[in-house]
Amino acid sequence: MKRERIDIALEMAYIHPGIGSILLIGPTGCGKSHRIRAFFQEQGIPLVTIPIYATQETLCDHLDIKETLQKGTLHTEEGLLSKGRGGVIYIDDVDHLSCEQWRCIRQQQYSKEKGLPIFTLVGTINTSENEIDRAFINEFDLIVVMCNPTKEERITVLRDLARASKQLERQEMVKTCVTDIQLPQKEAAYREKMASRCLNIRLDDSMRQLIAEYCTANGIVGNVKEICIGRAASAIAVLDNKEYVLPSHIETAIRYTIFTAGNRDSPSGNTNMDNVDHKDEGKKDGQEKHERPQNNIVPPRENKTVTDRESNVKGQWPTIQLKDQGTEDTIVSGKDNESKQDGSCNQIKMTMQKQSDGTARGNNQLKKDKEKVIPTPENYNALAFAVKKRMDSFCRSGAGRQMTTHSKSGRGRYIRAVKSKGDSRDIALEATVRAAALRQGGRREGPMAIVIHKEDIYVKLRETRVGRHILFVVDTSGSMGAKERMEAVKGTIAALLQDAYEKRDVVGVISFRRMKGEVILPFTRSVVLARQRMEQLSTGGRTPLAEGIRMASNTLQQLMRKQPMARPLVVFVTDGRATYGSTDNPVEEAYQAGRQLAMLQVDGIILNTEQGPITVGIAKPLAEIMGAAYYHLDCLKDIHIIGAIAAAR
Amino acid sequence: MKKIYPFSAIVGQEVMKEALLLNAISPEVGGVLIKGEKGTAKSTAVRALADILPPLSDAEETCMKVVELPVNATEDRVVGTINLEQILQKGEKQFEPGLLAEAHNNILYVDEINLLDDHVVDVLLDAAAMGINTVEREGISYSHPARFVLVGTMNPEEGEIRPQLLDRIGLSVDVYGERESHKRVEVIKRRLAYEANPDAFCESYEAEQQELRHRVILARKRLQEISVTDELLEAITTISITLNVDGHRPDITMLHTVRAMAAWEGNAVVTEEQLLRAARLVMPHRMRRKPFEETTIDWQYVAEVLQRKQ
Repeated sequence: MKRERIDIALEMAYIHPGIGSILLIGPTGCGKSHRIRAFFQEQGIPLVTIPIYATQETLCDHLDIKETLQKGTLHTEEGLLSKGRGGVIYIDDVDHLSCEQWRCIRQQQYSKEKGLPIFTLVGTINTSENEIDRAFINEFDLIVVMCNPTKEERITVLRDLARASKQLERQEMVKTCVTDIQLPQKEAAYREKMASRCLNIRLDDSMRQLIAEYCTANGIVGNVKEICIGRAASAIAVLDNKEYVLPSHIETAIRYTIFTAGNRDSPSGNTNMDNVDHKDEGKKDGQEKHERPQNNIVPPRENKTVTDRESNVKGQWPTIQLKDQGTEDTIVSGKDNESKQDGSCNQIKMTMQKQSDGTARGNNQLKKDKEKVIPTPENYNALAFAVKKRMDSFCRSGAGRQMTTHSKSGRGRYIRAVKSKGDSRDIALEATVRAAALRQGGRREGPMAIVIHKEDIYVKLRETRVGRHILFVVDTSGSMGAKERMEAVKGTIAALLQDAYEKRDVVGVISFRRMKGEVILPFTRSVVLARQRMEQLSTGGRTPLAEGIRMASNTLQQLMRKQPMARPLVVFVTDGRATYGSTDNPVEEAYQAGRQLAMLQVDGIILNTEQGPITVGIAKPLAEIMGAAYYHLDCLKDIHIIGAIAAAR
Repeated sequence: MKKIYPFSAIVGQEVMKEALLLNAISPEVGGVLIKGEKGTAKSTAVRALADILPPLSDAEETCMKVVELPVNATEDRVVGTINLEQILQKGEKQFEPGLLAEAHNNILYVDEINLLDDHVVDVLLDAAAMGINTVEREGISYSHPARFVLVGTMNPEEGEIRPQLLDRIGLSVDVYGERESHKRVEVIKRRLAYEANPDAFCESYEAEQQELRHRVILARKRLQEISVTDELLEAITTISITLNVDGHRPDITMLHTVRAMAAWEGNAVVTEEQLLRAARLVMPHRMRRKPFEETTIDWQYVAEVLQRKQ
């Protein structure tokens, strides 16, 4: 196996004591874990693996129960993070850690005295399923993207496997692969020497200037990344056997430390990361506005400061948004099926909505490309985005992405132990024993090694993800744009269901036309079911708006009866022209139904699809009555406004 | 205890049965995901499999067994936890093994795998990936081997599975209810006979069961003799690249599957027909799916590409 970017990154971390974390991103099964384990085994560096369901107590140092009980004095046991001191801590699927665990790890990582990391953190992220959280990714010092293997690599792996006899253990396999990696065996002394070279290398002011300029131009907030780039550049310079850091080292360092699109190993040495392939910049640019400012990458523009991002960002600079709020983007590896270049993936091209054919014969894609399926009016993207934005803000204002509940049924991931408030269900045994161990003095002796009293009891704090129920109420009447509305809704549902299994969101659809409403899709997480039900929908007839709203009310009430913890979001897609009702005044009926719905106090969005110069629809006043967010289809196309709204929240 | 419904008494469902048998022959195939409506003999088949599984190796007597993971299993039960007695009586922390420990070298059967809690799936993934279960909870730091064959059943209309988990399952099969009426009649007849007198029913199929067991053992022995040529590797990787699947696992699974297939059907060399048949088992759940679009793989095209390469 050739020396690839990951090997170089690992080596950089190996020699530079200031580099504390490496992230390896790639699709499933491309050998991330494999390479990492091989590298560190070959170097003889201990690797402490932390599974993502490790509880907080095991991460940090904790009481050694046996010793304490036997000797009567406080003895502590090393936690996982302490065991990793001076070595490497390895976490697979690091983005699945809960916030608490992550914070705990990061806090422990940096020593207070020197500000240098006490262990190296190596993590992997799988791109096959999740939305990529760019903010999270950029928390790592070095970032390496891996791609799907080439034909040669596939054949080599197969060949090795075929050669392996039945008894060959996985570790053995790793060893055979390791000998192919051309890294000389390094000793501790060598490492010391390299470390001191890294720390003492000449980093001129002009170089620092370069780094600072790049970061400013790209709107990288905070100075952490600058320090990272400096350190990475030092390591690269040392590996290059130079005494001082050159601009080329900095350019290389940037590719390893900043996660953006357009990380290309271009032969030209300019730091001007032009990526001229993006012809459709204009369209996608606007959609980035909702992003937190520090992660935008914008071109340097005269007369505009870095905060002026609301205006059109066109040009050759790649703009990405990965934590997409309903809009899609794909990270495409630079290889296509035919080219058999070296295995390292050096390019991450961001593809826009239209690209090569979507059949299985198309390019490699790291993420699904939903837009190709449905003819894409931009507004469907926008609707999905609006929905997700609403959900997110609701989340943030409430209990956060993951609701931490003391689950009575014992379901959910065990995070840590907390003192019991009287109940003794779901006892955290070890924590309880720990607490009791410290209070044994004065307690009556018994047959047990330890006497537990009620005040010692700790229970398990569990974390569950509570998804949202999203109910679409769609106007399928004959008024203009019924089909377009349906496309918008279908696309949004596709976007939402895409990661529904992860976020546990559930989607349902009600339509209304002619004289009544109809449940098209009962609440489901299944893309299969959604597809089946949404296939053919009849349109036409008058608009029984009141009926639609009433049906939504009923459905939501039923839902909340069955699942009191549900946090439904109702999305109306209509032109607001109420033309049918059971009374003479359909408009007033609709208002009445709206007031009823408002009493349920559910979160809502109304998307007005009314076109034309004369507007008689009641979508906006209805939104006011219901306390729902109001959008007009046309406005959604102009995502800047959405971004402004989002930023204002 | 009631006797398990015999594997050889299951009517039809040849593809599903083949997928399960391939795993019995070569556990490296990596398990099966059985997708289908209710009442299509999914659970029956998996439980019946237990009865024809071969011994772990020539020396051993104990056969592989099927360990069931219920859909409401808690993390503790799956991963393992701290032994209550030991810590209370002696103040010593001891590991109490969970289902993963039990499933080592066996088949782990998860019914309704798409409804499993996220964190339990995380645990499974971790163990399925490295073959080791690392326990870091309740002050216990322990790892033990957990190499198992994952067999899952699900109804696709109830929800999706994470792609990461899909990648770790070797084969996938879509099952449908029998359409032909005479087969449906046969299903009912046999079921009634079984329920009326399970012992007698099983006895009547014992000869077939024995033969099945024997064939599986033979096939296992033949595994190593199947020749793995460069052409075969070339063909496998061509299929993977044509279908644009992620990572190395599809290739590896294909290799194990075609070997098992050839061993089962008595060939010395893998045929192209077997290659394509194996691909139909290995590839469909690994296709990157676009919602609202049927993933119909153009097998004709795949066959053509293979022809061209030769």
